[in-house]
Amino acid sequence: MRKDTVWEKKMSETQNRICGRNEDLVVYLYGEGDEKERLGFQNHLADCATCSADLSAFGGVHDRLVAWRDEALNPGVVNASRTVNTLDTMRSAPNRSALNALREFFTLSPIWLRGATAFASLLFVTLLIVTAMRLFQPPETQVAKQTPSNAASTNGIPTRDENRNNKPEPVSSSSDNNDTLPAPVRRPNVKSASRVVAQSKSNRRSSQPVLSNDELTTLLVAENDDEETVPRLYDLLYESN
Amino acid sequence: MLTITSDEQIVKLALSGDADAFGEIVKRWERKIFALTYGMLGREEDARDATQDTFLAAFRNLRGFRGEAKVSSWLHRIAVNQCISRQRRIKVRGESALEDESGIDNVSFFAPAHASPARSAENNQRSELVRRAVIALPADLRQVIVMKEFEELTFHQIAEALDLPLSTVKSRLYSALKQLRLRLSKMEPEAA
Repeated sequence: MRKDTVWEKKMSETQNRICGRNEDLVVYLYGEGDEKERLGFQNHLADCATCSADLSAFGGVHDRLVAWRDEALNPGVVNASRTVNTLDTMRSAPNRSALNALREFFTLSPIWLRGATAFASLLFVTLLIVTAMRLFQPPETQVAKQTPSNAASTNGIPTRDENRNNKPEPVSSSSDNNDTLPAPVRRPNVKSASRVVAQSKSNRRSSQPVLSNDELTTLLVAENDDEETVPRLYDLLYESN
Repeated sequence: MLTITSDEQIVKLALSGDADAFGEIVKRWERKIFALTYGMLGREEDARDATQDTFLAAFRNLRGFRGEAKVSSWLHRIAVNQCISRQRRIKVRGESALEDESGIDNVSFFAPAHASPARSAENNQRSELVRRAVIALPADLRQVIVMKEFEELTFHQIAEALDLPLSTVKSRLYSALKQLRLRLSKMEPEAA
């Protein structure tokens, strides 16, 4: 404890002795400056006790580092067999798998990062499951939750309001060149329309394909041979209901 | 192979499929990289492993080498990263005895297998103190002092290898020397 206090005091004293030429000092110590820099710093050393003391102390540290290096890096430490082994290992080493990389990440990461990663993964998986459940929900459940009008609309059966808004455009005759005239008032041919509806229903019963709106319109035009008498089929259908 | 002198040329040769070309790079740089890893990690076995891992990583990422930096700088960066991640692993595993500064009383002195029996105990003790002082330095200061003292690189080479401004290298070296002096004087007052 007492030793630590002395050391801290020493460190504080050293830090207080600041000279602005620290970088020049290390350049001079390792002999990397040119002649002009070297002479310039030598002159500075004559006047600066801090740099002189640092230079002397750093020289001692440098000598000890060199002694340790020479001892540690004995020529026998790195040998040719090591090189060969390294090369053999390199050629035979498989690429690191993703699992190993993940394991290393978790091993090296701090606890908070591991926890955050685990939480994020859990959240992601939960969201994925919820999304999947919504996507693959049975259609009956969806219909049950909807109102009758919405259900009719979403099942492809147009409501009455939709029918009124989406009235089919009148089929223009190729001989009729007067496009600017207002559309004539259509008078439903009840007799023909009833027959078409009856035919459509009988087709449905006999499991024949149900005629589409366009097909029915074409049929009615063909039967009446007069587009003015073509009824609004859906109006008739829903009015009959 | 004998006519090729540049590391960059050898790397190109290795990329073109010459299986022995990278071996030349290993032979050229193994000792330097070992010096760096030894200075960074302070233990011979760790340094050997880190050196091997450095060349393995370099070999695997050979295609990622674009020639923007020198091969030596590239290898040094890989080696420094290997040392840093190895130290993290050591810390996680609780093998942080390397950075224990609790004094020299309970130090089991590091004696490499190649050490001569005639080497004096005093020299071993002094080397051990230096090793412990270097290992206790912050990583950014340690890598600079090791590159300077162990690899004898110039300031410019260190700056290039670590991608740092020249003045930063000098100031870090000054700080490293100052901290080493203080740590050594703390461990062994008469030594510094």
